[in-house]
Amino acid sequence: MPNFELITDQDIVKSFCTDSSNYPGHAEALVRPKTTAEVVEIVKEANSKKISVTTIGNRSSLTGSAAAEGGWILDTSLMSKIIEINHKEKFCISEPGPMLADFKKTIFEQGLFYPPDPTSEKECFFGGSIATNASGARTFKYGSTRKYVRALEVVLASGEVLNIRRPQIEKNTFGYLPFQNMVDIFVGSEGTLGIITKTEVDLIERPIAFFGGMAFFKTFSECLDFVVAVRKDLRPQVFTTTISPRACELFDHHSINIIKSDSPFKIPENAQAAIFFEQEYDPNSTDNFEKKLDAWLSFLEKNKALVDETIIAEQPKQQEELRRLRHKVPSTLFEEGGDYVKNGGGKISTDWSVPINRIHEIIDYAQKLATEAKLAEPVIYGHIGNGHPHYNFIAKSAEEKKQILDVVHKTCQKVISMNGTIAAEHGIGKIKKSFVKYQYPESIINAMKAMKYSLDPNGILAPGNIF
Amino acid sequence: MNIIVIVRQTPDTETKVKITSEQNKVDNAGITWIINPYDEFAIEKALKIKEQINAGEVILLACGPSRTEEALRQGLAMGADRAVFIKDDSLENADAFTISKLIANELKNIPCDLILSGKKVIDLETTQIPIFVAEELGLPSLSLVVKFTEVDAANKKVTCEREADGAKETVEVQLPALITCDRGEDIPRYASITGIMKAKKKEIKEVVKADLGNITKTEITGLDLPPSRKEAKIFEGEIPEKVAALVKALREEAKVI
Ligand SMILES: Cc1cc2nc3c(=O)[nH]c(=O)nc-3n(C[C@H](O)[C@H](O)[C@H](O)COP(=O)(O)OP(=O)(O)OC[C@H]3O[C@@H](n4cnc5c(N)ncnc54)[C@H](O)[C@@H]3O)c2cc1C
Repeated sequence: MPNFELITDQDIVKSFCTDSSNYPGHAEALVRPKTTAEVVEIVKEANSKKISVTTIGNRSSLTGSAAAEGGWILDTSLMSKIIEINHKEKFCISEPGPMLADFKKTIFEQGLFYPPDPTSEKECFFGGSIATNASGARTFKYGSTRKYVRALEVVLASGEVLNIRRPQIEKNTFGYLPFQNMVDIFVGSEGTLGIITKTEVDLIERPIAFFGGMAFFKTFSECLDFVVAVRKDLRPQVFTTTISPRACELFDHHSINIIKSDSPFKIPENAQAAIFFEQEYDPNSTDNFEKKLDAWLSFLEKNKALVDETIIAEQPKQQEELRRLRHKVPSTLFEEGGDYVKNGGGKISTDWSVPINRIHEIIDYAQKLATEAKLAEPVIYGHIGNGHPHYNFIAKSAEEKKQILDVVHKTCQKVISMNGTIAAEHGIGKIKKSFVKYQYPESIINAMKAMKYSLDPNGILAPGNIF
Repeated sequence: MNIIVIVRQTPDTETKVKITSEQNKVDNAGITWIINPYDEFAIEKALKIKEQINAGEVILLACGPSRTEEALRQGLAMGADRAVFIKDDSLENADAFTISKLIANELKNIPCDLILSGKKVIDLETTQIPIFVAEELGLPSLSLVVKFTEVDAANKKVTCEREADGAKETVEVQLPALITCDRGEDIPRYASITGIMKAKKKEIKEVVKADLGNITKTEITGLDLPPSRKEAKIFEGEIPEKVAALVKALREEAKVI
């Protein structure tokens, strides 16, 4: 008899079968290991019986990647120890189960900083963020999760425990590049290659201080011009007195309407778009609060923001409020979309991104397609600083869903022709599979598959994801 | 009609308090300072009144160490007109009585009709300061006001709502008076970028702390952090066993059922 508890009570199992995409999953059992050794045992047992294993974090995935398609659900929530925070060498080793926001808070309170900040940080696990290479508002300055992952402990489908580390050598000519650095293969692999049981991440010095802000614009197009200008201004600077935001997030007029009702500050009546930004500063240097604020003021004036209405959040509570409002947009849409799932509709959110200099062009294109198809206007918001706005459509019926998907498919093809990506941060999971063909030729997708099946010959890990 | 708002700077509510090795003071290292949240409600109410009557000034008054200037700047950025600052680093650990005496002393020099303040300060966790000030100046005082329903500038009268246990009290006050504020429905406004710029040019008048002799009434002789919570108890086994063990523990150990 195996030495782990399989929970087969369907009343319990069912409540672990879907994720924030509402994708309808199903499973025979739920298993909740506490140690790597237990994970090994579970996987060996499952592999020998060819039972599939879908690893779950906190199931905030927006692509169905955490919704099991049969077999066992491996829940990582009981593996939630932060094992070491090393101040001298600035790293942290942790199990996958801490909630990302709690993980970050623990580190912050010890005077260090872990930058990745998906909007869902209060509802996703540290491990989930590694398995999806999550990114967030501050990715604008700090990059995505991948950049911080130093080493991983991964349990393969065979039960083998891999301990892999980002190479520290400066030269190496042995092997195809991805294999020289296996860490990057597992980061963002959506549970398909192995189960991440431990992760070592880089930490950085805690930024000394920052302020948040929200700037409003009379037109959407002026807002986009502003973003392009922000990016231009970020090029290596001789002077420190320019702006250098760490976040640059978009709210279109629909998103503004979503936050208006409980915004703690006044939103100008004529605002058609807004940018939420964060700016770090160092009170004890020439790059202090006043200098940065001066820089922002002239930048805002030059780039047609509604300057008098631009609010600044200096106090921690206010800064937190801005982030709460940012989160309110997708969570409201999620609820709204949920109401239509039973009719075959629901929320459809895009995750494409383009190089920033193509942002006007792609938005015009997407807009034109949506208008031509007579779709209700999508809500547009998100990581615009990275050329990554989310378009959210609410389909009220299966029919409408089809029309919307048609538009999204066309948009994604255009995105690829502009050297963009179809999935900048949410991954492919189960619901974006029909888009992958636009991005990579079949030969490359087959090579990815070959690697997957070489590490997991029975295809037991997270079946249905990516391929 | 001039309105004075008494302002104090306090640690941010999320601060993890540390205590100095002598165990009688809070360690200031690493603290993020904010305007006492209730004083911020008072500033918001003062600004609303000013906007409504379209006259007079909102003047901030603080009494504390130099760091307090930051709180005054923030209040000015919200829209207050000017500030008066009794600045003295020796006030870092001054007691409520000393602070209120100094404030009352300074208030004698500033003509005003209405004095507002938060209902309490969250660092000393006391409601005493404004009440002492009112007493010292012989002014009527009204606490826990959530809303000003009517401001009659001509006749120097205000009508306000205050919260009373499960009820609402409407009170009319003849000015001058001192009123302490609770949040009510007011959300303190965020400073605009231009507001912060303008605030840089607004006057913060520094005044020398009056020499009132040693008037300290209370001294903190010891500080302790609350005991850390006991670890959670996790029950092992099959669900029926776990439920039985939980019920047993609730009855026999926690004695709550
Ligand atoms: C409101 C909202 C906002 C969001 N905003 C963002 C955003 O700004 N940026 C962003 O990147 N994402 C965002 N997301 C998507 C999602 O939150 C992230 O992808 C998150 O990182 C998933 O973490 P999780 O713990 O919920 O993982 P889950 O959803 O449970 O799992 C996601 C995938 O990771 C795999 N997985 C999880 N843990 C492990 C493990 N230990 N080993 C191997 N595989 C594992 C699962 O099999 C699955 O394929 C958002 C979601 C919501 C609901």
